[in-house]
Amino acid sequence: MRIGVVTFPGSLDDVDAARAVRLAGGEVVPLWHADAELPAVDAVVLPGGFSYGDYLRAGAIAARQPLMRAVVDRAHAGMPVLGICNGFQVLCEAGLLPGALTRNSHLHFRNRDQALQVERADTAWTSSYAPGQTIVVPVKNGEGRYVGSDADLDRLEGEGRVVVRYAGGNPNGSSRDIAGVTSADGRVVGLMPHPEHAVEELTGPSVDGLGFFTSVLQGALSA
Amino acid sequence: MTVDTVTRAGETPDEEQPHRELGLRDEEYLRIRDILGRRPTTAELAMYSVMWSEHCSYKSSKVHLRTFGDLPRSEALLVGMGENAGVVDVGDGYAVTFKVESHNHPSYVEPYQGAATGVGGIVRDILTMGARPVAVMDSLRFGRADAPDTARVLPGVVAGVGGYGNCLGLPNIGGEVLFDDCYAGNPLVNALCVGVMRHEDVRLAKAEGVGNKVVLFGARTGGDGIGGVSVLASETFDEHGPAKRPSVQVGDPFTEKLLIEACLEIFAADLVTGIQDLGGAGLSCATSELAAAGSGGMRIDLETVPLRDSTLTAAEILMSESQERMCAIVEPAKVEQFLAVCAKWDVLATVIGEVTDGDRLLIDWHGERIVDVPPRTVAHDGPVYERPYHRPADLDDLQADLPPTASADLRADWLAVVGSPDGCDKSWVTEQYDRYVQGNTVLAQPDDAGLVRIDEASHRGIALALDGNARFARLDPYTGAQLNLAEAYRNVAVSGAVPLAVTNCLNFGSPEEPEVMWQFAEAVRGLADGCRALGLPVTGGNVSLYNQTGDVPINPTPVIGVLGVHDDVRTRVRGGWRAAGETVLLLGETRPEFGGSAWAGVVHGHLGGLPPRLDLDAERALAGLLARLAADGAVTSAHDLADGGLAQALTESALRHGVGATVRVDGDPTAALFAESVARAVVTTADPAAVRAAAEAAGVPVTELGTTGGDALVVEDVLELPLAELRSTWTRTLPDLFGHPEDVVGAVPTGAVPTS
Amino acid sequence: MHAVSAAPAPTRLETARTWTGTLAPVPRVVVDVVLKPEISDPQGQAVLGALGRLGHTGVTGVRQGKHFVLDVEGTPDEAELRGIAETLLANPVIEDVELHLEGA
Repeated sequence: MRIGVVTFPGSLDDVDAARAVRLAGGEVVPLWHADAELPAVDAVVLPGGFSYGDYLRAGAIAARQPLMRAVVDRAHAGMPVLGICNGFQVLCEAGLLPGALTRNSHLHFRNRDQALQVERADTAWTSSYAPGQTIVVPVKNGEGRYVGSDADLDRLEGEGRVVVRYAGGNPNGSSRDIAGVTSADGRVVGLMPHPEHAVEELTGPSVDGLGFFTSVLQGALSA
Repeated sequence: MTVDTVTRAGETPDEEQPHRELGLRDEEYLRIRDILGRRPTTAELAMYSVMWSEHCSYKSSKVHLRTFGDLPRSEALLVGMGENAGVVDVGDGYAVTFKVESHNHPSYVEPYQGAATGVGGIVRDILTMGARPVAVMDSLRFGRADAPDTARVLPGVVAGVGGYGNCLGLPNIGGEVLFDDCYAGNPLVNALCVGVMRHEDVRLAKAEGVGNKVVLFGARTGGDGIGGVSVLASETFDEHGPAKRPSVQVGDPFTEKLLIEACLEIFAADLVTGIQDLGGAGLSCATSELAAAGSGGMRIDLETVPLRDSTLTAAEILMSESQERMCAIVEPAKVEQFLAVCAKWDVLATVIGEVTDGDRLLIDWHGERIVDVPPRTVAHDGPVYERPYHRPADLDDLQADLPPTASADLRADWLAVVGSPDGCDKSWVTEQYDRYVQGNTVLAQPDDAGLVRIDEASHRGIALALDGNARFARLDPYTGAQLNLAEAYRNVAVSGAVPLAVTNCLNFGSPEEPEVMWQFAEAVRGLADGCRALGLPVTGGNVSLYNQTGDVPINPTPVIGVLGVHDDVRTRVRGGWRAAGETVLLLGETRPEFGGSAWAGVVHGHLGGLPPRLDLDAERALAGLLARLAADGAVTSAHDLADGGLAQALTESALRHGVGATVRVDGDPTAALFAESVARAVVTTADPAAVRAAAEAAGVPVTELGTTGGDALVVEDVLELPLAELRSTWTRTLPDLFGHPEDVVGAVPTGAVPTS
Repeated sequence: MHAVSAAPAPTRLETARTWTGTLAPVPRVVVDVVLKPEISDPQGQAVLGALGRLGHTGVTGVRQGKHFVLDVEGTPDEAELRGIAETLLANPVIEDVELHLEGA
């Protein structure tokens, strides 16, 4: 199973996402933002970091890079895409997910081990979890507050498109404690927390994050 | 405006020059004239003035720092002092480079940018050695926690350290945050960076090979920090604060991130023969140091330097401290490939000159020669001062003023110590730092040392600790410096790693004060003696002088960083109790020593007497024991004892995961709980017999304290502290002072508006 | 005829420009971007708090946004500029944008 991991100028957690894919049993295909062509991959991960220094808006410039056009096309055709943190910002800017990410309410960068509840266990990236399962995964962001108009958020909730919610405290002021959302077809997921930092007992607060990566591999197997 | 060329300088020997405004003494100016055989041009004067400033030339500290060079040569040392950073062999063909540096004065003027560019600068130093930077640490000191100016400085500094380091993708794995009135006008921001490479990747900063090109790459050059080095570092602030605002450097971490990636590709493709970063004194420093370290000759066309501000004069370009710039020496055949790598990463790169077969540094401006100097005289042969020094007149009285020795209320004192700004939980600060990026952080704050895995297959890792107790150094700088070394050494040992090398950041007041100079000389002497006793090389470091406002210098603050090696990070020992029913053991010996202790300071407002007695033999024995216990898997946790003594260590261990303990202390409870005797650690174990046996073999005294479990810390027949109460006291201090981010989701914290 | 959201009443000069349908050479185009009113603005609130503490109690509200100045060559295309403003310089999900065409 070939999982593409995109590197933009300023991407940081691409290395970590690649490690997580390997630990889950997948093959990593490094992807460069400036390439217009997307090679044959079964899924794509947009990693965390500060692409383009968060200039203009976090993820805004990255979302408009040549490779993203191909990623968007492939996503519309059903290819699973996971956007983590900065990647989530890119997905919103690219129009693949609703809402937007803005500056944390308390104006601080916040890194902590965060309890999350998995609400949708049937997306391409969460099938390894049980519905309602609580996991602990690091969050680390300065522009992680998920916002949208009340109407948009109501619709999102109504359609059950909240994938993961903050539990036991909200680290950044996200509306309705939303930590991650999915596209209508459940194949494009944006997530503020960093599952790739919770894949080894030695370096993370748990191994709860591995499930995101095993999910998509299982899905690719059965597809 | 007529360009002041070399020819013109020769023809107008009596022209007035503003050497004093640029910080040069009359005799230094005359010496320059002597070296050149004429008056210097404006550009040359600018170069000498920045390079001969205290910050760049170390003129007041050189004579004392020479003692580090006398330390026995260590096998592990691959590159010693004198390069951008020292390099140490850590086994398996890996080399590690690390260094700590200060950016104190700029952080008082512009807290966010001062701290941010401090991080940026030290990271470039590590990158310049050929390494991939893998982690950062920060040691911060501010005035009193409740002082109004601290509310201005602290949040900006923390945001700057986090803002720059996080954006570079470097995990922050530890550091310190401390408060004392003496830092009120002189906050200390010491930043450490560590990088890893293979032995064969080590790069040096020298210009060799006639005809090789000099390439400037990174950000454009602007008016940042012009004269910052000579003006800021040699200027003490007057009572009225930063009335004059010298231009400070402004950092762009995104550009530096691109620079890092471009450099690593350049190193991997072996495209450079020498490389130097542009830090203090910018181009003046890079060109003169590269030329001086190499065969001696270099020629630069200064007008080819890409500018952000086209109004800059030649002298200003030479003095600019614009950030995120590096200078490489590249063989002509490799220039195209070098430029291609830079283009891939969108990094501006320009050929600005070449290495020559002469022994002069020549700089031309639109075809006219404006600099023609022997580079060594700029970079290395700066003035060396033998400043007078003598023991402070008040030191005898200070040492005779013995601290109290008996607590009137152990329970209240315990809460006061752990709830004090120095002793309290630092999450308000550390949650603003990314600890996870790169996925190799095995240990980070609040563990005693940071531990980074450097090889996923072999599990080899490196440990780092950064410590500086300034109260001890005030009472006795010679011993105080050694105590700081001992603490950092002990912290590394607690993780199970073997200490290997030392870096240092020496923060002191004005060297023009003989009492301060004495403190400096004593601290250096102490550090050298301590390193000799422990068998550790000093790989390099930094000196920051002139940290004083008016007549009052800061306490001598020698911050010591120790690097260690861990054969197998899977055997690392963490802090914090996780299970009930384990035995709590105290390793080491406790004496009734309170001089300079947190207890004396917090409860009695007292600083006096002598610091705890140093015992490096005991530290060695303890370190060896801790390594053995880690390898054997014999302990479930370990925490060293330092500020706040046993009370602090027990508190932090219990609150980490909410597991209490019931312990018993014998003899004098004040000493047992609050003395700060050295060479001690508290461990927990499921096999106390094994630990006792190992301790006996190592010659380390063991005292059984009690058992973990319950929701309180109980000291039998003395006091009981429910964890809930302890947690509340320990965690509220910084949020009460600087804002409660927790409660303000949806609202906004009080405090200074953050600069972003 | 004018920018996306409620812009200040156009000056006579701006109005004249839009009526003619063509623009005289405009060296600078200014785009102001602010968060939509329903999105909370913690940075603006922080500034408001600071003003209060400095004694400026007469200021009762602050919204913080971005100000872009574009140098445009030749005859700019208003539609193109509006596109740039609405789809790149601002995120229409959460931001409102105002476009100002300045005179020489």
